[in-house]
Amino acid sequence: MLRHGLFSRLHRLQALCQLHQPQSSSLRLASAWINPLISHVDPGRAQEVNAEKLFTSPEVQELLTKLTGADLQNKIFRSRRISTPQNRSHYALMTDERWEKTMERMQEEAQHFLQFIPLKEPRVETTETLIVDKEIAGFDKSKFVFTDISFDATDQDRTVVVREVDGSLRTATPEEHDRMNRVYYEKSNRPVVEPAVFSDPYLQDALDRNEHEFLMDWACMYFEVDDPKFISLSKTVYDRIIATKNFDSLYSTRHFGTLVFYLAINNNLPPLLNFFANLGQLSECASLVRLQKSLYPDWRLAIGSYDSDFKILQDYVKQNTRFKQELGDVASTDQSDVYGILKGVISTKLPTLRFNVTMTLDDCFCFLCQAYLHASWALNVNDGHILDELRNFTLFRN
Amino acid sequence: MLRCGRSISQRLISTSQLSAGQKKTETLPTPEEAGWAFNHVEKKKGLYKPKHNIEEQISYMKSKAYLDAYQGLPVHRSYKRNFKGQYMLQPPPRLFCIDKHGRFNVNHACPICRDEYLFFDFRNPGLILQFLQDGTVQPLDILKTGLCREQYNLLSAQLLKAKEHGKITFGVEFRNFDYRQYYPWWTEEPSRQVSRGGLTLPDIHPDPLIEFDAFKPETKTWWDQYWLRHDKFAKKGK
Ligand SMILES: [Zn+2]
Repeated sequence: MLRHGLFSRLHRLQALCQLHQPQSSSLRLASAWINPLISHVDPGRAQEVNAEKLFTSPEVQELLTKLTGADLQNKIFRSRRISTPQNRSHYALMTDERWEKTMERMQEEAQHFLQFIPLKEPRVETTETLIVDKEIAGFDKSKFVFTDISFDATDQDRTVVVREVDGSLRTATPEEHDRMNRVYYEKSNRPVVEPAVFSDPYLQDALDRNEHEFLMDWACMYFEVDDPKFISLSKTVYDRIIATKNFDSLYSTRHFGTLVFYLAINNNLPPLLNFFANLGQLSECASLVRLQKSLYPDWRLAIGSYDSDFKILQDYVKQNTRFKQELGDVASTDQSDVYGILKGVISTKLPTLRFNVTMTLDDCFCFLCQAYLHASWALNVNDGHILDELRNFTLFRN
Repeated sequence: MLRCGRSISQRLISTSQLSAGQKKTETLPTPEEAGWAFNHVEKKKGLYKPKHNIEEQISYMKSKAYLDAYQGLPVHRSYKRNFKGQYMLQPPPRLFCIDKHGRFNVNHACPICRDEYLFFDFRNPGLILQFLQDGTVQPLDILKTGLCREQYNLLSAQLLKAKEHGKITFGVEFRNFDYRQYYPWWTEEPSRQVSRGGLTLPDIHPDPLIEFDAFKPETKTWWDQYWLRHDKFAKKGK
């Protein structure tokens, strides 16, 4: 009889736990990934954004993959301090052809290491009281945590319940759940207590030493991706990167896609556009604008299917200035940012042009517009043609 | 010279007092009486180790005095344990060089104890890094470094602390995500599971050994048949 009672209680408990786990985001306010401090999205629209759906759409994933570079030597396969000493180095002598093949294979392998961290909204922190047994209230001064450590339970669906001092039995909060995972299933570099590097002042200290990748790698291993702590930590790191314009620290790592998405969903592209412009990557700049417009589709600002990269960028510059005037807060810094993009692109793409770097911003823009008008604009003119035209134009002007 | 003589005489007095059977705490000389074990003092037994803080240690490790003393090499490089016989047969490392009162109990203290400025601390990762194996976060063997047990344990503790404070970075194992766990609408299979350092050169550059036809004069000599058909051959010989 007693045994039967115990079983039925256990079953009920399991059923309750299963029932309560998938309830994640029924009552959702604005996305946690929209940061009002850096956002340029109007609040009404920000309410409707479903960041998870947008992040997983194939188009966005493709653009993010394209925007994440693949620097094999300095980023993906750079030397890291390992845990066990390596026995010996391997040197291989190969022909040029073989070398190229090997590098191609390395590129393919590198794509596995650029898998994005899943972007999630913070999980719900509610717990469910399963049973209140008043007769055992005050049985001890501390809580009891019961953890299912049977073989078939995974870290996600493990049953963890807590017997409170007042005799009530409740399901564990996600923090307690994670902590029990860390206690019973020890992994290297996953201590039970949160390492000090994930909070200031040591966080800032690590960022000052450009250890962004190490920090984010460890954070995504240590925390669950829907942990509010992980999300706030990522946002802190990204905000500081944006503030210091230090995009190079995460470029061509698995975290860069999330950073780009974070900026795009907040409609704050200029810093990143500047970064790509300084690298001289016009097509990446255009992809960024494409990404932004696919997140916030608007038929008035849609990109034509035959538009070249240069035109997309130029349209974005025009629309952005007009938007700013409409809104009535012409942030001069942002405008100069946008002009700076074009300046950056020109100065890196055309070193032979003897482009005057001290040229004022308006001069720069006028110069480009003239060049743009001067060039006989066809629909699928590629960038090389435009650059040729630009070169002719300057020769003509001089 | 005078100070040195005084300290020796005091040490003699203290040992004689110890032998007299009195309590240690009563006979413990103060640092002013026993003297300080500054870096220029060669025989340090019975002297107190001067106390310095971490800022002083960091500035010392940048100073010219440090460079002159250690020549830019790890601090344990120029240290040699005093033992009789072969390296492999050396006695186990000593438990501590500085006793609980802060005095040296040996003359030839270990490379960390002997320098007045040096002690392991996570805020100075440069010193900890000198005691790690190349390219790893594993400390060197205790006999190779010549450290005492106490300092070696402190090294392990401060190394862990330095890692957790982000002062010493390391290769975090790569976490593979299965997106189907995180998004109910995701249907795509996850790609291959990878791990950092799991990629070896033979994987990406398969270079199998090729068996070339070599000149083998001993092929088809049927050596293996010799003893089987020995009787026949032997008969022939007869
Ligand atoms: Zn020692």
